[in-house]
Amino acid sequence: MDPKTAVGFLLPLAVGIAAIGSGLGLGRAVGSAMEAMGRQPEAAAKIQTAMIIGAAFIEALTIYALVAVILIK
Amino acid sequence: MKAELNLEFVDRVMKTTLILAAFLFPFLTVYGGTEFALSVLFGAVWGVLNLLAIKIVIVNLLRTGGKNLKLGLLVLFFKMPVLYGIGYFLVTWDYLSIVGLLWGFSGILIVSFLKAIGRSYLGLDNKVNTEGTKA
Repeated sequence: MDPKTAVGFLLPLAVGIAAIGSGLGLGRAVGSAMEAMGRQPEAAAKIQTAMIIGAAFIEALTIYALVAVILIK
Repeated sequence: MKAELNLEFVDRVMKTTLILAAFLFPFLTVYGGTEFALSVLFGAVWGVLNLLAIKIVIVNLLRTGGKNLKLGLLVLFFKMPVLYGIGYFLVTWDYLSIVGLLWGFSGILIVSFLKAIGRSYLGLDNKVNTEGTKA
């Protein structure tokens, strides 16, 4: 397999791995936030805000991976 | 000083990012060129729209009570194909600098991180908690 073909196989795989990691992290963050809101409804606003910011941070990582792949391509 | 860590914090982060991007635009145009300045501006606007969409989706689809399901689904549809399509177009557009786009996109993350550090440094969350306990 020549390097170009290898890169062609590996780049989508890299984005896929980044997306899986990001999805797992996001799912865990949202799940924990929901649990925390259920336990402490009075702190729901704070938890929700932290969750929104956290979701943006997690999503950014996948976007960085996607942009990196587009750059390498 | 507004001390509550609620949805207003997200709105303030978005406003600050847009103001910062608009403020930096003329300087970046002079020192980095129009392409770079536009890239940073577009990246920042895209990041703000992305965070706004995340906020609306979470508030309207996940929160219990007072939610607008239609708006949530509409924004979800806007975010997933439309906003990401625009992002793909911006990244693949040769006129714009990808590094500039990344700087602009990272702007909102930097602003929220710095705002969070500022809150921690000023002890705003502790003040709110103490007041809440006293009340």
